[in-house]
Amino acid sequence: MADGASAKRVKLRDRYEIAVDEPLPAFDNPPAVAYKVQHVRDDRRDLVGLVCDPKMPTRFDLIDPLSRIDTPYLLNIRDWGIVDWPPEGRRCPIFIFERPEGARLMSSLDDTFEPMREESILELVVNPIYQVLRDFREHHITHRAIRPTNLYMGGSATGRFVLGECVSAAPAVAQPFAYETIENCLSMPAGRGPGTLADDLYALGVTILSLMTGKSPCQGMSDEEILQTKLSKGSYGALTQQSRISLTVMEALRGLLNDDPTERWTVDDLGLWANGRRGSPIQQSVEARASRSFSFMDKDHYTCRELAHTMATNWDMAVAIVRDGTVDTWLRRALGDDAKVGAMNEAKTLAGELDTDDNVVARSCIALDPAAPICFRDFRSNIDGFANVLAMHGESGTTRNAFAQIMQYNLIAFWDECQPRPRVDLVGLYRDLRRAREVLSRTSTGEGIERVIYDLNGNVPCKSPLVEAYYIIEMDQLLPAMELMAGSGSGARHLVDRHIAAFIATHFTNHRGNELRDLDNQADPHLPTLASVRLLSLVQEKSRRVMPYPKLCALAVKVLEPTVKRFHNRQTRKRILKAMGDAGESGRLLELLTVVDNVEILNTDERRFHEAMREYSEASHQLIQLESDIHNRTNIARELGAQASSFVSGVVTTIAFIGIFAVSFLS
Amino acid sequence: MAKSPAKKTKKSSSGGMLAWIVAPVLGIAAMPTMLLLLIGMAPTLVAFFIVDRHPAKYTTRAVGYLNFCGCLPYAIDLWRSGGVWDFETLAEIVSDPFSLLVMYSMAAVGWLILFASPPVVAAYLAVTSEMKEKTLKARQKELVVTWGKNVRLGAMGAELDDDDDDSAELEEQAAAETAPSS
Repeated sequence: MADGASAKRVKLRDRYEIAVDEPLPAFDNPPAVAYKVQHVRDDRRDLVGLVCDPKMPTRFDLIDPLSRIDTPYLLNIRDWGIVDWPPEGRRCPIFIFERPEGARLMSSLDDTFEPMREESILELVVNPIYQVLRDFREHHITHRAIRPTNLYMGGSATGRFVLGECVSAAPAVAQPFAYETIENCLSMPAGRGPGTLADDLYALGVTILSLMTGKSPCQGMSDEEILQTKLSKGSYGALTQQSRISLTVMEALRGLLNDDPTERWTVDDLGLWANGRRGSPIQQSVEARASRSFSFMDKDHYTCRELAHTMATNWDMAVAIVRDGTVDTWLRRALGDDAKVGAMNEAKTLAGELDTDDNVVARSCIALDPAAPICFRDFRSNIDGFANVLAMHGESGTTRNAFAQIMQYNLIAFWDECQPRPRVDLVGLYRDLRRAREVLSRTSTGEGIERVIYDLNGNVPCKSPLVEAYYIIEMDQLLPAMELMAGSGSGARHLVDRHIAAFIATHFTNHRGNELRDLDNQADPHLPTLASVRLLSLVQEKSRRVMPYPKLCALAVKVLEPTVKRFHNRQTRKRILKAMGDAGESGRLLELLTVVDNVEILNTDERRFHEAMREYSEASHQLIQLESDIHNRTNIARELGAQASSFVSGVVTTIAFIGIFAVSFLS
Repeated sequence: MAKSPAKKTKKSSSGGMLAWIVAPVLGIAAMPTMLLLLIGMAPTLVAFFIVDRHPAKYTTRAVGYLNFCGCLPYAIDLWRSGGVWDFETLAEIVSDPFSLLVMYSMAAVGWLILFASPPVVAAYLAVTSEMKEKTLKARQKELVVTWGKNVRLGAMGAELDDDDDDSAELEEQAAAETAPSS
């Protein structure tokens, strides 16, 4: 990895040089930071590089569709990559863009500027953005970063504005409250999700309003104040306030800022308006208001959405008004909404262990405001924002528990039931989330919340502390990063942790065997270590081009050293250790495994060990016998002495016999 | 396997029966010889009936062999003097104190060997068992050096130690062995 501030130029694929010491704050798009970039072979090109926050998910999934969009009105990606970034001391993703000709419309939302004329807005802003959104619709993607601070004034040629980039951060994560729909304001920023083009059109409506008034709407108001104003007056009323708006623009704003996404203008409606078709402004859809207020937490509520929001923000207090039936009474008597009464009853009808206060409040919030994000204590996210929430906050126990509870209580199914129209667009997501629920319930390595994070977010870098600094988003990057990690002297004592296992489980589905299961093997303490090396070995062998990783192998040798204790024979251990060192130098983990996990040698060693144990046991028994003989030596000596004496007598007698007979009969 | 004790009993009973037939015949056929042996081997009879309680009758054998050896020259004299019914020669022999001394001395030599053997055997056993103990312990140590302390644990039926790095233990043992010599 590049060392500190010493490197002034960082190269991207030998094609671009990023000037670390030449930041371009005018082009920053928080959380991404802009730097001057030079093309190595064409220094006339004026390029900007946006270095992304490596801790935050980046919209890599947009790179492919964006590459097929060719429009001068979008700050489109020229190239991208992952570079060693000295200021961060780690690897970070970087996107290269052509430098916009004009300056940013607003450097801050607190700025003011000369209001633009209606015709200019149409010609210079709406028309170009309409074209961009039309392209986005064709590719089924959303921008989710339309705001005046992400608009660049046109160059000298046409003067048309250029819409800023949308890939350097999670969708809508940096969008100000004023530019987001009420539903998205109710969500945590990470949980807003990619949404639909209706969300982009809403943001465009607010942007048009800014251009008309020369300032961002709701300036000086806190996020909560903006939300409350939107909830009580509707978006149009809350944002326009006392602004003077011409009838023509009013038509567009009423269409674009409509709080009912089904009634909100579509891209086609915008196109017709931009091309001169005029109609009468549509009426703002207003949520049904109760004839009398519902007082809760010292506040009067007239709509279900207001009440649901207050309940979600006062979670522990909300259960009382749900359980005692006051909300039902209010819905029936003051609002007369039988559908909501029915939904509330269903929300409260829970069996057995599902009938918890948290579940009741969460379901009640959904029943009261089905369009709002799913709330569970501090967790508030749209369905399509779950993946980002987990990617950004998955490490937090609170978020993890909330997600687990949402899955356990099956709140997503209830949310779907409460939707006025079936959400066919979310069927795939439901399926993924159902699978996530199963994966979450498994505690083994390679499963659990870590696996859910990678399953739901294909582009989230591996969050393992071992390799996080190397920003790995693809399987092919894992081993080179681990090679660098091994060479950095990190002192790692293991090779595969839960995050690496989950990352491999997600990105290496087709080639895995039982290695992940063996990572949790408790019976043999050495098996998890061997399984971790075997897993990495599989990754190495199945990669498109098998590369040697000697430093990783050296680390693997170190990690595997204790596993030689599986061999009992000391000489075998020494021999295996030496062979491991030699195999490690080859850079192939498979060779290392062949040495350390040789079944034939293991079996022979085991058999000989058992023979040695038997021999030791026999020797012990003999020693015990000897010890016993010492105590009985007198008796034994007497016994053996008697035997010996009878023998000696016999021998002497035999000799004497021969002598006597010889003397008697031969003389 | 189950047949062998029955077979043995049958064999011994048939042998005993043969003895009961042969002995009276011999007693009648060689009465003086029988009487000579009865008198000359009195120490053996004492050993057999009074002293020796061992089933293998080692004491009787030790005394009896030599006692018989002492009686044999006189029995030959008896046979060579005239015939199996020569009571005169028998009377001469048994009335001669020297001949009785010879016969009983030989029995005494048997007793002497019997008394002298156990201390010798005990000394021998002490030396051999010490050598055997040393050999066995050396082999066990060799096994531990080759296979680690788990070979001992396994032989004792104990649970094997996962961390069987016994180099420290071996060093301790080596130090303990070198300490007395220094």
